[in-house]
Amino acid sequence: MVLIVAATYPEVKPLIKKLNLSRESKHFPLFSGDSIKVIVSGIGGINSAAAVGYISALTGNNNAILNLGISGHSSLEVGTLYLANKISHKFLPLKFYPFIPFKTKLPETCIVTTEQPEKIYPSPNTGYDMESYYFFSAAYRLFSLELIYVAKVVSDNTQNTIDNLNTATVTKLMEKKLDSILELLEDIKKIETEKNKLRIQLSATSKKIIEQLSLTFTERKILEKRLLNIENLGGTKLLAKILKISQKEEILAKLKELEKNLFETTKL
Amino acid sequence: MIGKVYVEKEVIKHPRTQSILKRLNKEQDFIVIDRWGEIFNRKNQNFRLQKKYLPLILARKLNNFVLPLPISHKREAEGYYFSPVLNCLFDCKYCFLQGMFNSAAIVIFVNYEDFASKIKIVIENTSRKTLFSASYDNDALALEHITEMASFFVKKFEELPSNTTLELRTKSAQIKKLLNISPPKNSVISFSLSPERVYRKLEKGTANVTKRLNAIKKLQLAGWRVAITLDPIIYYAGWEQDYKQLVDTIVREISMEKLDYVNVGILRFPKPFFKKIKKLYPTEPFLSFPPSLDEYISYPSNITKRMLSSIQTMLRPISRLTTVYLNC
Ligand code: SF4
Ligand code: SF4
Repeated sequence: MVLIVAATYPEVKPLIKKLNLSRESKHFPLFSGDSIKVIVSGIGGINSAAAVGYISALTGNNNAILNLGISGHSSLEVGTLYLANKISHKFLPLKFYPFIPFKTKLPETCIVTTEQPEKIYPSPNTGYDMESYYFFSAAYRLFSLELIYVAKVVSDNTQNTIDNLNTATVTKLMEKKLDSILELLEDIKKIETEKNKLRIQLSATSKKIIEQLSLTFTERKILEKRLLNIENLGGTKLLAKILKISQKEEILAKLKELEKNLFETTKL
Repeated sequence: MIGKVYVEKEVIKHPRTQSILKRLNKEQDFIVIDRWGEIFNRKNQNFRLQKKYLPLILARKLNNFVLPLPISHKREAEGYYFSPVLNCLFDCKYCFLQGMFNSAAIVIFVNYEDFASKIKIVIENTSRKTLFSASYDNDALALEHITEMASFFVKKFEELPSNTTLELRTKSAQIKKLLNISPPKNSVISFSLSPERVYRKLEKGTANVTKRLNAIKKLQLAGWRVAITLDPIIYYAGWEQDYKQLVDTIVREISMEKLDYVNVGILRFPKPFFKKIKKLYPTEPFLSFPPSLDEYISYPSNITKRMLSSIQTMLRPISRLTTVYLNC
């Protein structure tokens, strides 16, 4: 699942409409589809960080998370969608470096988070927003680095001042970039799937074996590892026989034996 | 494949930074950072995803230039290691760096000269033989075309007394740059060799065994000191035959008398490393053995015993002609 955190509704309205996401409001306005959730945090860093915490508690932290919205930029043209490759704050010391593990046509630049809208755009080739630093600080504690992204559409620069923006123009800007945003979401989903392949579930038989036995915490941990090894070594089918045994000691001894024998004959 | 390049503010103008950026074709295309640790040490990163798109960091090393080798390296010399490069372009499934570091990013410390002067100080303070490994945290030649690390230190070690040795371990066949140097007395290139099957299944990106053997032959012909590493030896059904065949090939193809030494070891990991690596390869059969309770994770003792005895037998044709170090 890809979780999207946006500051305001107009920034994600086109996406919500396009994907037909349904509103399930709780503490934050939240819109859900099969593989995407959009949460509207409200403007500013604290809100953004709170939304990250809230949505991760709600959905788990094995998902990918994206901060999507508009930003100012000192070099890119209005309407450009870009990814942040370095995130800093105008006054705070930390810096974050998103790791983007896929090829993308989107430009990548650094972004600086400010507490007030930036109207001077002082550094070259730099974006300016009011959330990404806080978004990333919060997401960083909860999600794996390769699954945290910041993508922004340029809404203002030295030629087009921020004062010309209103909800309608923001929505229009985001709508124009909808196809590129959907492409980006596909790339992110692929990485998320790949990452989650590393999360292994034991087979139903193994789970049953564990359930049947009354085990201490440590015994259970060891048994889980042993069962996983047995499954990795191609012994899942052989586990069915173990289910028929009733004595705990016998089950544990048989599994130990099975693991040993399977490993000794395993091919590379 | 190298992805993004990060450069510490402080070393942007360093001549070595500039030449590395040029070789990478990234003179204009890098991200400025304060310190390498900002990227490298953060938790919650995934080594495997990073391997596909390797970040590369150019930085300055500030301390801990030279460290003692862990005692598991049994040699008669005083052992040290130094690491101007962290991590590797290749992607071996058993690589213990995956367990050691949070990030797969390749770090190049461009201040090679500082390593060299610290090495000199260590040597000046001992009367014993010394051995310096430059490849404890990397593959010494995999990135030679970009780093010129091996060439630099091979030359430096020629200025040092003859009872010191620089060891450079590799699974590559990148010897072009080395062959431009006249054969050194104080450096040994140690090639890690594995059976074809192990190379194919577990050593992604490395040079195949034939290429590694050819590189050995070329270096020996040019008068270089060469060693062989058979470590980690991996257990699987049929391992014995495969390794026996490898030893036969080595004996047939390589001039044993000229070989400096052979390093041998069975797959083993410090416990915390093993835990991390298992998370990266949770279903990999060759890592699915009942883990021991020791500090070092290796095969169950019955397997280890059998392996050791077969290894000793199969190495006889080698140990008759050159020194064999068994690191188990
Ligand atoms: S193989 Fe083991 S002993 Fe040798 S360097 Fe690696 S961890 Fe240390
Ligand atoms: S060549 Fe060595 S350092 Fe490189 S991935 Fe393989 S084991 Fe690790």
